[in-house]
Amino acid sequence: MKWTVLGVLSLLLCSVMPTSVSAETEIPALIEIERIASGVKTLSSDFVQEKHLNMFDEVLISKGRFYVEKPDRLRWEMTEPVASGFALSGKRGRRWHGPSGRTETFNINRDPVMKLVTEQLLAWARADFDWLQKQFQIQVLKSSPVILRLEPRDEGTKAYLVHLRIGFAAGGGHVELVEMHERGGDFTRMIFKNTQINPTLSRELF
Amino acid sequence: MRGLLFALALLCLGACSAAPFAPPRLVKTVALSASQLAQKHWSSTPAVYRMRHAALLEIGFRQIPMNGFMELNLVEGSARLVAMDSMGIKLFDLSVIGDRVEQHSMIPALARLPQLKQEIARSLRRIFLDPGPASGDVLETSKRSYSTERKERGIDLEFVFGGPDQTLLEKRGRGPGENWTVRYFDYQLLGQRHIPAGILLHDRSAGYRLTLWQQGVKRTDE
Repeated sequence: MKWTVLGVLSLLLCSVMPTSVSAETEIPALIEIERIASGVKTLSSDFVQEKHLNMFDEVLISKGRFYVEKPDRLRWEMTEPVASGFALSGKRGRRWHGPSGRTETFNINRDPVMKLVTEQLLAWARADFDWLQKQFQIQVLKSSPVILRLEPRDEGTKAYLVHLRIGFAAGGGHVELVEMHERGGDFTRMIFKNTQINPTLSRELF
Repeated sequence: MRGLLFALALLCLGACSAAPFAPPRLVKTVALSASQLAQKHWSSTPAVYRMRHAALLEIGFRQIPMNGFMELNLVEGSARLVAMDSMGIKLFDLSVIGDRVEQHSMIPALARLPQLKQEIARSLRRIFLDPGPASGDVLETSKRSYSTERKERGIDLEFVFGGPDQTLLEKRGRGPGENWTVRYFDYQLLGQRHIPAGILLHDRSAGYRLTLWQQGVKRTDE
């Protein structure tokens, strides 16, 4: 699970991180995305999450909002049907769960999962596409606007995840669509709307 | 001594926190038999429901929020539960049929945990399937609630009913290796049946607390 969540966040974050490209990663579409994204410092976006459950022939809808400020601030906020989420600022963060009214703080030095998030953020701050290509086989399905298909290389991950499909907005400035296709036919689709590039973000968000 | 008190206080923070639901409104009891109370219980009617829940699992100080989607088949006495994290990642997909549990999928990080599958199945059964109140239970009626009891496989089972519709408010199981309580809150009318919108399972033997907030329910067999 960890890599999937982080992978999706990382893909979103690639729009706001300063970038450089190594010789091994010179996929033209990625280079172009990196070039455009290098001027992005902050990003906010609404999202709609659709969980397609094949067995039940049901689609579960959730909604929320996502904020990023480089180099290390992030907020993932679900608003419907359940208010919940987490915010991270440097080494400190907090999680909340609306129905219970519980909020808890964490420090990444004492929280291995959040530490991993930070490590991933830093990896993406270095635009480590080498890392991404070690985790996934990347295929460019479409070059304008860019649509990528990422297949996991790790056998354990392959056991439940078939592939990710990532769609970028026209112009390549940000991600518009993420699909996670699981074994058995279930998939999660995240649609990002009302994306703002370089908005002024309140410190209180993080 | 101070250390012991502090440790107890910390334990209570994790294990004794209040239910996040309004307490039931109790009214004066009327003459009802154990059989009538058992038949009033919503899961005593053969029906198939689809339910969406937000859940919070608390193990010690760890809080794990989840979302669940379940098909509860009270005709067959089975349930299929898909649990997801807040980003929609499917954590597990399990079916419980009688005493059997069938795993359709589970992420590797959870699959490594011993007994997790069985523990999930046990929770599902206790909350939604079995044990349930029965017509042969011993009834005790007090001023504002009803209690029915029986002993089953060495476990003392108790069911507490109350409120204007005499709904099931609490189930308890105590015996060798078992000490658990399920509390049901905020009943809402669906068709002819009152369905709980809030559920709290506290398994003291296993050391966890599971709270469910119902986000949607529909009957699919009509």
